[in-house]
Amino acid sequence: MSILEGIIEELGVAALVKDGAYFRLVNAQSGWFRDLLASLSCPVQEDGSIVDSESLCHAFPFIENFLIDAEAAWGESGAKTVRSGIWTETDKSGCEHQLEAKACSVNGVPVLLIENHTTTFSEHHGVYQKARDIALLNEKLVSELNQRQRELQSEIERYILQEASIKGVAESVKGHTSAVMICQPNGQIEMINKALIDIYQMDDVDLKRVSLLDQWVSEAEAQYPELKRVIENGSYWEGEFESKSGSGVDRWVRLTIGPVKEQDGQISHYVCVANDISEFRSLDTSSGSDGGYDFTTHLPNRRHFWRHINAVAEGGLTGDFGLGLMYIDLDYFKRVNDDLGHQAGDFLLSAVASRISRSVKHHDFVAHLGGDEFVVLVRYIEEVSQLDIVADRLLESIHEPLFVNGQSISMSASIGITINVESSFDPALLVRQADLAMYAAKELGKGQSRFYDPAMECNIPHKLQRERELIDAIDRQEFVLHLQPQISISGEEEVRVEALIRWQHPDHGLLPPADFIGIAEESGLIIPMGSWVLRQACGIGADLLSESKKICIAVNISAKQLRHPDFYKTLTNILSETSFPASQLELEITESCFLEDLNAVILLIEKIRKLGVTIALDDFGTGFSSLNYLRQLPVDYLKIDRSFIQGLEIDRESQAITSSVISLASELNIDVIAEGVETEAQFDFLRCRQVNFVQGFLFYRPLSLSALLKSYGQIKLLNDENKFNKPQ
Amino acid sequence: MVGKVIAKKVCMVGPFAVGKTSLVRRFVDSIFSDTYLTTIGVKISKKPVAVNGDQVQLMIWDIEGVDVFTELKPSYLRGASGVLLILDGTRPKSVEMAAELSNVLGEQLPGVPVVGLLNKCDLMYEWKLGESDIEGLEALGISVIKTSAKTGRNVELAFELMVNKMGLGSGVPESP
Repeated sequence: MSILEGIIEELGVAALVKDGAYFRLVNAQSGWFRDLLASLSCPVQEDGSIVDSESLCHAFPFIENFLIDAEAAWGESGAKTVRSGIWTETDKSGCEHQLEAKACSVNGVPVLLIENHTTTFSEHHGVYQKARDIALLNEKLVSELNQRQRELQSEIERYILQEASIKGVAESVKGHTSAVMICQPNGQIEMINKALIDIYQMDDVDLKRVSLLDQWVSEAEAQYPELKRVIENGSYWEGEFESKSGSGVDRWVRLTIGPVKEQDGQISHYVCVANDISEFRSLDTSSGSDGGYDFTTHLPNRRHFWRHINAVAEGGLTGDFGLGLMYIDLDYFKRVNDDLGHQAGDFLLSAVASRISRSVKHHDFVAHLGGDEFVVLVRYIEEVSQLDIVADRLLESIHEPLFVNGQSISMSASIGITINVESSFDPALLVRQADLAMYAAKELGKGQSRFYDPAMECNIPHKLQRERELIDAIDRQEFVLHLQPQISISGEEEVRVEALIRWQHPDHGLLPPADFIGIAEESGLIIPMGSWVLRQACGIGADLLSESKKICIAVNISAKQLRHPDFYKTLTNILSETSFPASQLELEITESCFLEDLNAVILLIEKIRKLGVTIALDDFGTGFSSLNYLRQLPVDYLKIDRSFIQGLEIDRESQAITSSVISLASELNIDVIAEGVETEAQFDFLRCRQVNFVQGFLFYRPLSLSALLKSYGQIKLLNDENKFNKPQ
Repeated sequence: MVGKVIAKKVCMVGPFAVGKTSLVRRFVDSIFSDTYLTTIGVKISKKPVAVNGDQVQLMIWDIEGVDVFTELKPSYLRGASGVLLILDGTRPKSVEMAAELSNVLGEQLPGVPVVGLLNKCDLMYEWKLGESDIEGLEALGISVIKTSAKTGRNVELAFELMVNKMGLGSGVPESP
């Protein structure tokens, strides 16, 4: 063995020179390599110096793959070296060898080096093993931390609502490891704990001097442009961003902000929970890596989205194609999250994410920005109408029922859309426009999409203004009740109507409920408004009875109204004030009333029924309906949702559901009302299945009181006709 | 009559610590160890399987898991006839990476079948994935099977499904 061969051997390297279809081993006496070749049944020449390429590849499939890269390196001029990365070979005796191949050219001659790392491998492996053990632990801790932070946030909000005390919170979170701050909507701090002081390295006096809420909003704004709008709108928010501490050091914080609302819906406080996640983040940032995918939905996350849209903007748009951006926000997600728990919430987000992904084309980009917000970047738009179609598909797909904890839930979403047809565009502006449009869609009653309109720029305070107008409208009694008759098929002679609210707006004329009920619900104004409707309806009913016009009036009651501690008292007071018999009043409630504390709601409803008031379950089939579940509910009437009635002529599914509901309700002695009946064919179908009442434009639109009085006789006549035409 | 022997490369791909090596050891050697020993680089195992009278030599490339230190090397995927994408059902974070890995696989191996294995299904109390996760994976074009290298559940079936998807078998085996 020459000195050179000895050195190569000492380095644990087998040096092979490529010569046509053969490799010549430079250090022909290489003990380890020859032994390994022999062990892998690789034929070599007697002197051990020549091995043909095919045999080498047969013995080392890994090298066969690497030779493609090696050939490319050998074919290139210059001294390029390519490495294969480590692989493990097991010899006949079961011993493992860690090897790495390198391909380079020496004086134009192709050389393949195979390095044996076996002796140093355990040290190398040990480092990786420890790093990955730590990473696993880190992953577990982050998962638990996120879970606990959300739970703490909910606990504090619940405590404040139940106890109406911030002092009690301060006591319970004093020594908590998560930082807690409770502040007023203007940022004025009312309570902080020690963990917050530790993160910001400022004393509580200093912390109370600065508006930490403003600081957070401005620090997070680059990543989360919607943060301010989300919290001002009274929604929950969570995210991770870099925040400057008192000493000037940047810390990564994971922050959750939840609003606490007064009974009238006004935000009284924000509960903010923060955790310093700098240590957890350091692993990712030091390696320059960013998974880029959301933990819950596995979709590209916010950072990934910004990278993507910036790259699209940098590349510019080509051809005649435009770019659409859709900002999707789930409606009432926080309520579902609070009612059913975070696990169910995560499940819902995950399901919605996959539905969104399936509703768009492969080249469109879907991201989960966090919380309940998603975006879709729609490529290659030729006509704006394409976006309408996509939005409808998304709304429909999100709305399909989902089964969570044995319940069927239908989610809805609000979608804001903006379009860009210029070759260059500002991504931040596009996102802001889509966000504003989404907000407009929410304001207009949710469950719909809206295109961005520059006028929306001035409409940000629209909701607040609408809330103020609603307060005035209640004072000024600008609401009117319209009454829509329900026609009997089963032979009832009594005239039945549903009371429906309208707003006689001083500037905009008569507004339908869709224009203001959403805001009334969110702001809490639904409570006084609901009481007004109830009082008004009972008053009208009492007046009609005094004129010997027998009538039953159904009034819609929202879940919020029903859960209000004074609801029963308000109801009995109104019945007594108006002298309207309880037996002539019907309350229409929706399935959402039963979402929270089912047993308590059942007890309340039974108490109300004891007064003589009847209960109708409204919009049946759109919520978490289950026919089995219906057996538990103390209801007298069931109103099949209009979407099924409208589907009767289109799909068999609607027919099947409607028939099943009627049949089960009949078994349970519950009368069925079909709403939204608009055609003779629908009516015939329902009559044949012996539905009890029908309501819809086929018979009457909602009528003013005077119009009802004019039609009163005709309604009675219709009831009678149906009685005689009733199928046997 | 002995049929021809066909060699097919199958890559085991996925985040770190999801059980790729354990699945190979279970399938090839019928053994399992609870100790987590991280893989560095690649280890190729061979396993002959009989398919329709032919012998198929599966060349199983157990590729180092993806993490902040290590990316999936596209060159390791070259020539693969199928990919098993392994994820850990007890770690949502591992599933989070599926979309990213699926993109790489789609770019490097267009048209090559990918079967997703949600491993560690024996840990039922720690299981964190739901039907929606599975729907999400299927939306990426990945068929999913729950496996356990520890108990051996569905391990043979996963490879059998892979063989079928590679167009070698007689059909897709029935789901467990």
